[in-house]
Amino acid sequence: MALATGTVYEMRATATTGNTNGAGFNPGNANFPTDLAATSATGNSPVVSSSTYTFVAGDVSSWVYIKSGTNWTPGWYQIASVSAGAATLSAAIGQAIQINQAGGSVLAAGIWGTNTVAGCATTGSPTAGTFGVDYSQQDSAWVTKTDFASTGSSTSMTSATAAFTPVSVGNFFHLTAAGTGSFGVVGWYEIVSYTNATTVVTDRTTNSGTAMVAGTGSIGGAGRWNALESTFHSQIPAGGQVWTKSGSYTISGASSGVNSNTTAANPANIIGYTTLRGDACAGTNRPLFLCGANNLTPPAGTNLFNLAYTGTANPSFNLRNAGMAVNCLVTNTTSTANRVAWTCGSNVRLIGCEGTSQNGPAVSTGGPAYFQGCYFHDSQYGITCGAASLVVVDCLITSNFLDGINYSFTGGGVFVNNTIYGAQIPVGNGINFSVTGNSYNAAVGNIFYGLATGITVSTAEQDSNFSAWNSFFNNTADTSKWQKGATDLALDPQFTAASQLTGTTATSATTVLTDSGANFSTVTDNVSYLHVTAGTGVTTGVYLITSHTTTTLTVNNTLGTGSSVVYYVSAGTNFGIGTNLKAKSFPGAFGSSSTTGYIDVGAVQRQETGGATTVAYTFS
Amino acid sequence: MPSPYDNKNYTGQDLSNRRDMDGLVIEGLCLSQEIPNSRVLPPQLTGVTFSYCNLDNVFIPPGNVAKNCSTRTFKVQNDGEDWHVDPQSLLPIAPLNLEDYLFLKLDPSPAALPNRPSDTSLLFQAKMALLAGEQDVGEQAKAAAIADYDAANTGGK
Repeated sequence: MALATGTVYEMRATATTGNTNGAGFNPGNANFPTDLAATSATGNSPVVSSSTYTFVAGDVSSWVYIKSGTNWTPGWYQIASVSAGAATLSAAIGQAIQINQAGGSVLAAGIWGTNTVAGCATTGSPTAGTFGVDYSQQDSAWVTKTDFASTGSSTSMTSATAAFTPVSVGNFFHLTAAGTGSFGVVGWYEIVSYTNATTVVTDRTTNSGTAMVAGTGSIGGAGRWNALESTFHSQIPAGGQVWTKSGSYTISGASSGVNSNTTAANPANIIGYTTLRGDACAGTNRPLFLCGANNLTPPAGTNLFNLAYTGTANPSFNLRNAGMAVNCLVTNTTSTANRVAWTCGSNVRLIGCEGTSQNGPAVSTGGPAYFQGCYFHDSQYGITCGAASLVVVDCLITSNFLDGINYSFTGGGVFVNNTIYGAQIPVGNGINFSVTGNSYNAAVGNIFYGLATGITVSTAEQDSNFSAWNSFFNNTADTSKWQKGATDLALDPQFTAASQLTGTTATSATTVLTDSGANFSTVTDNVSYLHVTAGTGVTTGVYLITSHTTTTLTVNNTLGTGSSVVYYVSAGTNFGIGTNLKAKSFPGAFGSSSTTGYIDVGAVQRQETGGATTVAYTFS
Repeated sequence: MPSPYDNKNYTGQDLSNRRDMDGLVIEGLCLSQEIPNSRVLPPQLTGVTFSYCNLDNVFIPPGNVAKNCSTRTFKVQNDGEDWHVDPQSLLPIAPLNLEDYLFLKLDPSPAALPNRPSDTSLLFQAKMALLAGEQDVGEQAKAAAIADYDAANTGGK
């Protein structure tokens, strides 16, 4: 039996180690107390009380969840202080967590964010509010005990010492040890209802059919992605939301991706946030999963938002069929060849994501896939795909030493408004249609720059391929067996900052490359990559530069002791364009309408007026 | 008291020159290495308790403790994948991703390893083929394969 749809989980890097806490809360619980009353409810610091439950000092920093009630504003409100059994809430603008305010129902799938109006109600002294206390948004459990018990197959659970309260309901109980005789069933349970201080009812029995005695478990407290990853994934209900707070999580083992609850139609969501659920979470604020040699495979039908993963396994991260990732990063830092950062199942979508595999493909998809606004770079390949219906739109695919895109299916690829860049001194292919008979593809509005070959087709030219409004510049050969269209261009994109440092006489030792004649001052640590292409004794490949001096680069993997090292560094990563390609892409005029579009060529559109009036939008 | 190494990413890095680690309780450090028995901790390190850290392939000097840590010894084999290896002989024992081998019906025994390094991982190729046509029914098949293996190795059937 699955936990309730709509369950909300909390994961924190600072929570109790071992992922032992309750970790979840069900805002849809039907047995919350219904007698919440408040004073000063429209201000920054409402005071709430209940005749059913007396707030205590230990509740400070926990969150009151207001589910419903006349004049109440549903949402989560953190308890700032407790006095005389009443709790003062933090309800100034930006302090409360709400969902889908414009839409009404707080439980409807909608947008999470912070409150834009102070207070927890629309009137000063509301009554009869339905509420709970969410103990999951805190590092430590509300209670941890070793005397949990249940009779055979019963959903009633007792503890002589836990001191349950009416606001225990909705919170999750995590049974971590099965107790005497091991008749408990370790796992996560919702406290569905409150009986008395020693008894509650859980969503399903906590035992295997024989009474549990002296089980160990916790109620409340955030979970932590540093243990039980597969087990945790497997119990998330359809529609479950796993809010993961900014921080680093060292993963304990591979995640096998088995969950019979979630489907493509009813996925689970893992969502990174910075400080409060729903806030902006980009760049280094994204929760970072340190995977090591562990391959992470969340179950099919899992959507990811605002997360970052790094590891050395093959692949680092596996997004299974029908999954979606938005604003996520995966890096594979292995020194072993051909390992992948992202792999994707059928019908996945990567939107605003980034990938790098220093010695393999940044992303490899085995089925139809849609990539938009992504950045795949400094890898062996940007994208490899062996399936129909690959759609790549608005992507920045740069500094990949073999192919920007390797499409090994017989046709059906769509590539629109991408910037595919090799290096200032041309290297690799832009798009490589690498199997026989590759046809009915379309390449429209892309920039192909600094490539050995912009577009190459493995066998005979196919008349069914379509090429238009692409710009080819600074390539050794623009195309091979690919027929350019009449509207294709050959204009310098005038990149804002795409420079290259090169050398042929460097030496290397351990993780340091030295070139006495170089000037590495334009290198950016932990952003720029060293590409070693030849040399004696050195291991060729791509390396992340972690620090530098004027003449040395320290990188993340061992170079070996080498001489006559041939290398380049892509020092600039701003692929904004000049005016040459302004409004030169498609679509322009829309048929018989009086409408005309002005699209720049490539992934990056120009900021025409600058300043605050022209802004860029991103996922956060 | 948090240590400066808590929850930090030092994957593949060498900390052997650090002098500020003795006596610390270090939680959540990722120091995973790709070469077995890597000596990337200070050789004289003492009194450190590692908790929930990834110390795969890391040689831990005597006098330090690893609790609830990952301390596997593995090495890439000719099939392109990481395998558990014997810490002394470095001979392969079983794949790190044993579940995937079982699910994809690939032989997980060392005897099945290719004699020469392969350019492309067979496991990876099989995974991609699966991904191309994956259906949800695969969930149950995978769980069943794992259960069969577990049962076979615990005397269950």
